[in-house]
Amino acid sequence: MPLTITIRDIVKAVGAQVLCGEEALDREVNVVIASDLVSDILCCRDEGPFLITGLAKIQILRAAEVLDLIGICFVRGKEPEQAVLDYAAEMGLPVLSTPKTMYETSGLVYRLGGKSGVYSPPGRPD
Amino acid sequence: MGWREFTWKKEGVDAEKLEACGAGTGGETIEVERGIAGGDFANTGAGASEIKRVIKKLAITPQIVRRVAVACFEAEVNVTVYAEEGTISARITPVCVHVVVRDRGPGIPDIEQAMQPGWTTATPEVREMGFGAGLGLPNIRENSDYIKIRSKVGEGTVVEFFILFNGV
Repeated sequence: MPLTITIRDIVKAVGAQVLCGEEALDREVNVVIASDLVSDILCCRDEGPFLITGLAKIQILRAAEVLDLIGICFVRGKEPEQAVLDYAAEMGLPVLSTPKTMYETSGLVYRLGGKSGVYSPPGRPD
Repeated sequence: MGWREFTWKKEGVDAEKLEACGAGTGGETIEVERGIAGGDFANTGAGASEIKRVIKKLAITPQIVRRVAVACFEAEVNVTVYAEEGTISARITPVCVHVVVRDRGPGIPDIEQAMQPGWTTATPEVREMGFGAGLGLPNIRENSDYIKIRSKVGEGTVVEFFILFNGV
């Protein structure tokens, strides 16, 4: 039986605080990506990834809309401004925050069984 | 230096046919247009979100919806990062989307160079906000079937791209 993990499992594993989107914590996590660069995040070719990032800014939510992210975990104790959280809450997007580093957070989620999203950066023009 | 131009199309794509699709021949057309303000990072991507909402209602695969949204987002970010102001307009037909992003700004002296992944002139401030990885234009091309860029130093840039919904 394939192992499925939920955002709630991630909350427990990384000791995260749930900043908003409590009602959607039972969403299944299909793939996970981790990056602080918006363009890198946009190179993910999977549907609905879960994002681990230290970039706690409004533009990450725009990227979330573009990619249909199913949830975000901010690392290194980063917490966005209230306006960002209000926007995320409006989107129904679960937002977590953990004091752990991106390395440790990624490792713990990987150990849970989180699969890596496909990173497919653009090539050079032919 | 006058206007410089760069075009690229995916193998097998008929550019003329696409231009016709983009002109809205043969079916219902939806148009979306939004202004983009230079330096306004809080709102960059709003156009991409709006265009995405419109095309999501059509019978298009999620992969194509994602490609359109990513390309529109990157194009808007470029205007926010580099230009004074601009617009993003999309013409959505039953077979393709044709997006035109125009700006008034510094222009691109060497478009071929700007198409190379990783090449960027972004400031450290911009990088701190998660942008300026040098993947903007390459990512737009990657997600498009046909792309045309025109630019003039000191005047501005027009990035135009077409994405087909169901192949050629």
